Order: sequence, then structure tokens, then C-alpha cells
Amino acid sequence: MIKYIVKRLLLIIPVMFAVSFIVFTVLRLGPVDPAQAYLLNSRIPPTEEALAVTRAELGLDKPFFTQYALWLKGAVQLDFGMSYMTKRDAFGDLMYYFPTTLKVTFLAMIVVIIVSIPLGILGAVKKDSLADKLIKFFSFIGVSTPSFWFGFLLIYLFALKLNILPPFGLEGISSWIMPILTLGLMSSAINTRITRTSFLEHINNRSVWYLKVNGVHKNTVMGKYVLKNSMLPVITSLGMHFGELIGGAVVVEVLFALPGVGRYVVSSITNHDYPVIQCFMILMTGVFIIVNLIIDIIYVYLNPKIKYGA
Amino acid sequence: MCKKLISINDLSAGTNKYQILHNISFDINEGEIVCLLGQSGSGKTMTALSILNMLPLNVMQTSGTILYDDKPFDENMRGSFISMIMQSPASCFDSVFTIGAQFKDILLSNNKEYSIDKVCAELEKVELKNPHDILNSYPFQLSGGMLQRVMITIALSLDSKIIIADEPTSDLDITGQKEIIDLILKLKQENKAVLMITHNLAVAKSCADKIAVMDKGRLVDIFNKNELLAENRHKYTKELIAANNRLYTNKWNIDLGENYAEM
Repeated sequence: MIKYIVKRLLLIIPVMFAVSFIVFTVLRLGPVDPAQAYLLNSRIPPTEEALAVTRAELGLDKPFFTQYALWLKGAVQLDFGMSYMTKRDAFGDLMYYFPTTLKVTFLAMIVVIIVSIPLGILGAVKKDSLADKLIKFFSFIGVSTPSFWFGFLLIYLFALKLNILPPFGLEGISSWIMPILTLGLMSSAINTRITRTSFLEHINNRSVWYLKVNGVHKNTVMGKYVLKNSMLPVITSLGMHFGELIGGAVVVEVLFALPGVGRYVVSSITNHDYPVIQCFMILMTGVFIIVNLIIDIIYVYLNPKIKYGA
Repeated sequence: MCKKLISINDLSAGTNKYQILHNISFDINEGEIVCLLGQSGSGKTMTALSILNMLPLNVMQTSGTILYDDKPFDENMRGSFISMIMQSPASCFDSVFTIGAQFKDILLSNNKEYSIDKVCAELEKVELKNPHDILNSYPFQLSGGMLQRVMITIALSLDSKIIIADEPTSDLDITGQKEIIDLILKLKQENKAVLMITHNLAVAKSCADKIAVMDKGRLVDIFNKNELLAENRHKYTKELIAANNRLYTNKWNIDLGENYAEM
């Protein structure tokens, strides 16, 4: 197990290198000249003269690989360069906004877990009952509702009509409720379906039948054997949904005016603020890799078939 | 004479569209091995499921009674009074729990003590080496034959009066089959009754005291082992014997049980 974890941790290094190279290259392929973007962000007319000075200043006149090496050298020391827009350290700026985004994402993840797993199991155990039909209806609606629209509905109901939750900003715990519900809705709905299907699949397993026929109580069979088996695909799916959530956080941050990284990055993209975009992509990759590593470790812990290489 | 452990009387079952079992009656006595013989789809497994009260949701028992030691069925009988050995044991054990954990849960659920030493001793009795390793391994790490032995050990440890064995030999090779049959014969020595379901006449002949032949949901013939070749056998039984002779004896002459080749 420890060997597996160390192996996976070491694998992060080449993956991050590859991602950094791709990120750097792809952005350089864009139609906008970084020097021009820099000047426009600084409200300086991009004359030939000014462009030449800026290129020299930002090191853009050096060969491509030299540029990459210099940037990478800084990046491993968490120095991703200066934002063209704010003229501040890009990493520092992002780190100012990043905690809010991570918080929204993780809280939404928790919502997804505590909504989808119990609902999915309930639906499977009480298959075809009224509860199951309601759960199916919820997941159907949840999957097909655009999250920004659901957010508007929540604001309309809880902020405008009932006036019990603040419509935007971050003031205390209550202001987190609507954003995380908005963000978590779709993933909860999908995961409810996955949990339900997976649980149903295992209820009819021969192994379950064998235990029951030899007198093991239904509750033990369901709560221990079926549960552990059916959680395997659910865990994988949760890992996938983490990426979806962190991407969806941008929409939610705009909708509820949260001071998260999303709004900042969107404006960086429209302004071609390369250092910030690069730093953001590297950060996101890092978080995504780490979360999925944790998910994989949980998966291996639960599934001995992988642990023993069968 | 012997005590009737299970007595099936006029059992019929079916879905709302068609009938699966037609008026089946037979008894299983203490210390007796009864073989249910028949081709796929003849209703052998459905009969066993009726005994276990585990019929699929869309199948209902339409008539008849099953008495267990003169008592009607109750849930607590599963495990303590009837236990089961199944075919394809690799899929009967849960692959995310160790064999030991499943063994333990089955015993504890039936108010039996689970002590590792005792279980290991039992496993050694069925000629499994390194019983500790077996308890700590997962089903996919063991072979079919080993798992089948573990299953038999579980049935033995449960100390139930009657064991239903559903095709316990069907996915094992000939030597494996023979070893499992020997173990089932040992069960008989411990005064357990066994209901063995098989489509293999040779297997039935090598271990049964009584053979019940099923065809299309009906019990067509029931007789003691030594009456297999008697004149008054049902037409279907005779066909089975003839087919079996054509299949095996001329080609390979495999000796599975006593007198098998001359059958």
C-alpha cells in the first residue's frame, strides 16, 4: 500500500512537467502577442518601440525553450511572474482568491456526498416505491437543470421572497448555502443515479444470495457487503465530479458575487493576462491530481483486487 | 425408521403466465443423500429455492406444503437448519471481503462461535493446507476447488441438519469432482441429509441414496440407487441412462464412482 502511494506521488512530478509544458506552449500559440497584451493592460499604446522594450523586459525576445526554462525555474519556486493587469505577483493574487473557490468546491462535494449516497441507497432498497419514484424524479430534474438558472431560482425564493438568505457576497455561514446547493445540484443528481444503479446491481449478486441463504441477516448483508461493493463506482465518479465542481465554481462565483478565483481568472482570460492564466492552470491541475490521488487510494483500500493485482 | 427432515407434499409453483413446478412430492430423511437429477430448465433449482423459501419475486408457490422437521418454514431455519453449497463458488464469495470475514459473518449470524483455531482445524479436515492463509485471502486468490471446500466447511461448521448442494461439481475437473463427492459422502457419515442437484447421472449415481428425476417441472421418477437399472423405470430415466452411456462409456471410459463404467 505504501509502495503504491509513493509510486503515485512520484508520478505526479512527470505529469506536472508535462502539463506545464502543454500549458505554456498552448498559450504561446494563441493569436495575441503577450507584449501587446501587457501594454494594453498597462494603458500604453502598443507602438513598435514600446513593444520592443516590453519584449526585452519580459524576456519575450529569447528563444521559446529558454523562455519556458526560465518560467519553469520560477514556477517550481512558486514564482509565476507578475500579472499584466494588477502588476502584482500572480501566484500571490491567486492565493488570495483560491481559498474561497476551494471552500465552495469542497462544501459542494460534501453536499453531493451526503445527498446522493443516502438517496441512491434508499432508492435501491425501496425500489419502485413512492420514495424511489421521487428520487428518480429529483435526479432527472437535477441533471437537466442548468446550475445558473437553479441559482436564480434559489435567489428569487430565499432572498427575494422569503428574505432568509443573503443573495450575494460572503457574510457568515448562511451566505454559503445557496452557492453550494447550486453547485452541487447536478453532481448530486448524477451520483444519486450511479449509487442507486450500483447498489441494485449488487443486491442481486450471487455472493449476496449465498450469505442470505446461509442465514446472514438482511441488514448485515445490505449494510456491509452490498454497501462496500456498490461504493466502488461511486467513489470513482466522485473523483470525476470534483473536476466538474471546481469548473462549475466559476459560474457560481459570478452568480453569487463570491470573491473566488473564478471571476479573477475570467477577467484574466479576456485581458490575456498570461502569467495569471498559466499559474491558474497549474494550480488547478495540482488540486485535481491530488484529489484524484486521494480517491484512488481510497479505491485501492476498498478494492483488494487492485491491491493484490488480480 | 429415519426421521423425515423435509417433507414436500404436492408442491406447485409458477409465474402468473405459466407453471414451473407441477405437484412435486418427496421426502428427505436424516442421513440420506437425495439427488435431484434432470436437464437444465427441468425445475431442479426451483424446487431447491422453494425449500429455501427464496423463490424469485415473480414466481409464486401455488399449491402444496413443505414441512421442515414437521414444522412450517421460518426465516431462522436458513443457516441453522438448512444450509447451502452452490456452484461456481468463485462468484458466491464476495470479492471485497476476505474468506475469513465471510465465514465469520455466516457463523455469527447463526449464533455459532467463531474461533480461528476451530475453523482452521475444520479446514484441515477437508484437506486444505495453510488454513490461516486461506482465511486471510480473497476469493479471487483461491481456486474453484479450494473455494468449494471452504463452502463445504462452512456448511459443516453451521452444523445444519440438511445441506442443499446445487451442482457443486459442475465447474470442476474430474479429479476435483471426485474429491468433492467424497466430501459430500463424508457429510452423510455425520448424519446430515443432503439434497444434491445435478444434471450428471454419474455424479448422482456415485453419491446418492435416492435419485429423483425431474423433467419439465414434474418429478417423473424416484427410486433408490440400486434400482437404477430396474425394469419399471420411467421412460425418461431410461433415455437418460442410454444417453449417458453413449456419451461417456464408449469414448473415454472414465471411472467416477463405483460401477460407473458398466452402467
